[in-house]
Amino acid sequence: MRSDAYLGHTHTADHSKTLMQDFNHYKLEDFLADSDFCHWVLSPERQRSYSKWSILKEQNPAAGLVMDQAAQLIRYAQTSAAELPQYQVSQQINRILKDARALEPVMALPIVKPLIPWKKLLIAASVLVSAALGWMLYLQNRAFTNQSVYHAYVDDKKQTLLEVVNLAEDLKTFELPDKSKITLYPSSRLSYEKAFGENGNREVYLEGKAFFLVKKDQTHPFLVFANGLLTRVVGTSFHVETTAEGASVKVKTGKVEVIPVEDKNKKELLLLTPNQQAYFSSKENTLQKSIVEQPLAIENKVSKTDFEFINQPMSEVFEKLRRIYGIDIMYDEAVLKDCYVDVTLSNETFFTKLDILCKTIGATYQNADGRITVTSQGCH
Amino acid sequence: MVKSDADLWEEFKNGEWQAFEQLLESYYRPLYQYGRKFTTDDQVKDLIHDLFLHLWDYRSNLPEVNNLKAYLFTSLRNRIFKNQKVEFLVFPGDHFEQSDPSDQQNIERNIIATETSSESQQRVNRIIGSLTRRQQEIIHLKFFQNLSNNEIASVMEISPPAVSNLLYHTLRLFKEKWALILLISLISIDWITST
Repeated sequence: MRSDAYLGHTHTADHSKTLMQDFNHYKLEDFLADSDFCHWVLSPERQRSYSKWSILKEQNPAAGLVMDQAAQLIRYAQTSAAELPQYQVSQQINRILKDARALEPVMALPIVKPLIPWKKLLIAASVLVSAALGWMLYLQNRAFTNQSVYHAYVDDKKQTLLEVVNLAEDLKTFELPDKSKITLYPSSRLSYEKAFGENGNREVYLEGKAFFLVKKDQTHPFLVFANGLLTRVVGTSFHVETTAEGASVKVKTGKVEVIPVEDKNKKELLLLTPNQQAYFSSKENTLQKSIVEQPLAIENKVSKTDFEFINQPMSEVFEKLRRIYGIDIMYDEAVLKDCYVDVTLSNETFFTKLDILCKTIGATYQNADGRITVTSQGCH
Repeated sequence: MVKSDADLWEEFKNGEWQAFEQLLESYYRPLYQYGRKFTTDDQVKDLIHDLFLHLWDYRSNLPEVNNLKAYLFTSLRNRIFKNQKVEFLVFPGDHFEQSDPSDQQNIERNIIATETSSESQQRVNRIIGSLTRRQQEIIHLKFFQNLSNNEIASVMEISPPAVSNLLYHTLRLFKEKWALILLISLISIDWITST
């Protein structure tokens, strides 16, 4: 069997006589392996001008025939390759990148400021297709964030920001450089300075919903900017959520201070304790404090017998609730001094317990301003 | 800024997002075009998607790679053949009987001179369409993707001499079929002119 030693062998001779002698022995394989020949076949300009290949074709019809075969094979290889329009390539690449991000949404990426896509856009302007695509991506990116103040915060920052986006359908938890843990809800994003907490405060910017478990550090307050609401803590756990109308904060443990971003140097911060929440209305720039819908016990060691009351003074019962749920209950001690209850409670919610207790002594309560106020005529 | 494949691969393994994007920009189209030699548009897109997600997911455990293009081609090829759901495109030549044409040199020359280029290109398409899948694959890798014989060897998972061998037989078959088709068209021309 003949070996393929010819393949990969290229001719560089330029003298026309030796050239013709050389190419007289050229076989199909040799033409195909000759990169200059391949280039000549695929270059219309070179085909039109005079070259060693056109001379060879004219002077040696036998070689010309083999050259035709080789040329057609080369052209076939080009034309038989499947076409894929550039927009489809970009679509597929974006699909891969999007799914890869969802695979690992806790990856913090540098934020591309709007200036940069514009620059990119100008550079790519000569290539119409990619320019159009860049614009589409830019708009897409804008659409994701444009209804919030988030973008304004991020654009304002001179420092490099890192951004974490949750494109998955479940919750994703990740750690900030200070070891604070963030649980990001689907379709939410959070960004922070690359040099996080290095100069003063630990600042983060949120769009969507997140649960924060902040590592205690008295010297570096942790600040969350969320759609006009500023939340300040030193070490605690709480939820923050942005909405179309504003933002809300729900405290799980510890103390949390909130204030509209606009008022941060003008007013006192509003203090929130566990099971309290604050609603911020961006339209009215107001903060409203209340008790969360489902208060949870803040003490870990709550036993069943904690809610078994046998002929117990009402004031002691309210004190116990206050201690377990961390919620202030205001009442007039003098009025309630003769009230005793015999009742066994267990897994009812905080508000159900409160309803039952108040009914047994014929009292009512108001839930306002983050605390409970009990009104009673006393017991006789 | 164009990075070398070695740098690109290293950065990709370190989890650099930009390297991931650049890898896709550079290799998506060649991989698609190679994959389409075997299967349908949808399936190639899905397989390349899965391949890159797998690479990203396992990036810290990926091997050192000397030849990135050949590595990616091999990975895609393995996925194509591993995937039982892939409907292989039917190549008409998979059961083509080899013929033994005689020397038609002089006749060929006359015909060639009168042919238009699109006619001859159609003829080439027919000839290559009658080759086996492996023969078509090697033509694609060699003359479209411009891979070296060693790269083709690693992609197709055969030895370099086997690549030379396959290439030689493919080209010989190409020449033979070329001659055979010329003969047939000549006979029909004779028949037309004699009636």
